Amino acid sequence: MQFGLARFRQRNGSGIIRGALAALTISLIVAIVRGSIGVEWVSDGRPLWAHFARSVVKWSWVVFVVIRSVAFLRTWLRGGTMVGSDGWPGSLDRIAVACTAGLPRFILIDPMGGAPFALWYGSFLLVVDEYLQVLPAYGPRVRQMFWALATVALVPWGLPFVPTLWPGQMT
Amino acid sequence: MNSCTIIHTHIVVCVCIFGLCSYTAPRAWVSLTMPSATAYVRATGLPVEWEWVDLAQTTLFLEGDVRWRSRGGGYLTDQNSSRVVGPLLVSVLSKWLHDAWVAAVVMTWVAWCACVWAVVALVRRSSWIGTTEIGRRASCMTAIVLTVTASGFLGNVGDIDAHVVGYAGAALGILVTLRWTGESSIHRERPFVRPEVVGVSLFVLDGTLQLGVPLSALVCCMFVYHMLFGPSSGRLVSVSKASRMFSTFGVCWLLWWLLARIGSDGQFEFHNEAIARSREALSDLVALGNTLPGKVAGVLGIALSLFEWWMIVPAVLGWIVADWETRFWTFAWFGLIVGATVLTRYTASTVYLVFPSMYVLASIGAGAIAELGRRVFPLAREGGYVNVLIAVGSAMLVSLVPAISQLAFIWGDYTMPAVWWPGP
Repeated sequence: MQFGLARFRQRNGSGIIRGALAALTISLIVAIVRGSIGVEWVSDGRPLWAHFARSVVKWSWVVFVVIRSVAFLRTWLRGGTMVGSDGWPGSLDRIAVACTAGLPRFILIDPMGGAPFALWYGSFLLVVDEYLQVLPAYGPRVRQMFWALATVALVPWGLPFVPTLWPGQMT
Repeated sequence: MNSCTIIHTHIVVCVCIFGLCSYTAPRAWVSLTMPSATAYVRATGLPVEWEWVDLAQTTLFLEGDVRWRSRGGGYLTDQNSSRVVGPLLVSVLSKWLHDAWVAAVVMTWVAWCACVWAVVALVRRSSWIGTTEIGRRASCMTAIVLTVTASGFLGNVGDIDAHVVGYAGAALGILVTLRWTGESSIHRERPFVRPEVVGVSLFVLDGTLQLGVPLSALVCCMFVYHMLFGPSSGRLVSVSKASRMFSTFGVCWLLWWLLARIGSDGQFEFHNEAIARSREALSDLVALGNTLPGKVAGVLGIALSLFEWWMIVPAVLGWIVADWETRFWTFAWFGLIVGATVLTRYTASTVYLVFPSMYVLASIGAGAIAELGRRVFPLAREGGYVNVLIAVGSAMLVSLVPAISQLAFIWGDYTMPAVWWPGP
């Protein structure tokens, strides 16, 4: 029986750890560079740690989504499948691919790069997907449709300037 | 058509009929609140209770929209950062529908259907003395009518509120807990889902109405129950599986705690937060002497006032005839919610979370009455219409009277919101 990192790698495929490390490295470099040239760490009264942490979170998640989605697309176009132990892409990869539709909003207006949203959206999708597997009718085709729908559902959400009507002003 | 299809058709038809009835009500429950505390939906002119701003704050925070700072003087309230699932659904749906109110109505209906399905599933997994097919049908029909007319949902139809998702989350959470811990599933090599999935489920359910702690406590109670009384009694719970479940829940929860604080620049405000509330309640108890019995009695009084006596009587009958597992979890959940309410929020909307226990027991009571009718009327021992009549009659007896009572707001009264918001 495998534990820890080995088990995680076996379930999710080996590329995921490389992808996560690459995303973290790139996000740190981006945060430091942007801070050095004064793009992001402007003095607006907010604590410095918050600017730095938000920058790291934002670019880690955005870069991770891009890296894993490109890997998924390349593998898929070559006729292969990027699989974990259950014959499907690992949980994080599935979430990353489903979140690609949100990338415009993540990059353009969200100071956290959609990471809080993705944590909840991803958890919600994973839980629903797991319980649906108890049903005999939930075969591979239906499952593919579920994940495709989850991605398509985010398309208007990802467009940053789709307005929503609320009943009034918040006070 | 098999009984499963009949039950699911009933669920859909009943939710549609009663949902539409509630829309035709001349006095929606929000009109019981102070008129100054409502907003009006522009397209329809309908009043919306003022707490829509709480759901909106979380939605805007998830969308990375800086307008979330408009609520609470720039602070993200702890309550709003905890109740995320409803706002998440509204966020995604509203981008398709362009209107947060329409998205909230759709969310209410989805949550309502899920809740009816979960309560029926809870009834179907129970058994009682002399269970027969007629009793099962009567209990399922009762569960459907009770949940379809549940005041917690009817009271929030047409409102933008996270409570409905919480009520559905309570029933679904109990179902997941029972299925995972029940029948020694924890001891099996392949339980119905992996422990990590249950951990993430608890995290998602915590995001409905801060249900993570009571549901975790229920998991622990069920572990103890199965260790002592289950088919594999005397065996220790699989520590590995239990720790995987709780550690997954803990990691997800901590990750969100961290992200919410980074995203709000640490601008956090304690508001209806469980730990802070419990600390306040405990210090009050210490300062004011032993007021605990009085507080518990007060919460119990609110809990029972939400369910009329003609629902409580069959619920008591159901508790007497039900199997031990059902008796145990209904009692445990009731006690956990009352306990949590004593320590946190002293309101009807919170105590109402005991409803799965009450509805399941009342439904079992209806099943028991149907069994009794079948024994009393000799004709009913043969199959056919008399059996069906007995099943329908028992279900009507137990469920329709409270249902009519709960729908009485159409002609001027409505129990749960009336207790919740007494109005001017």
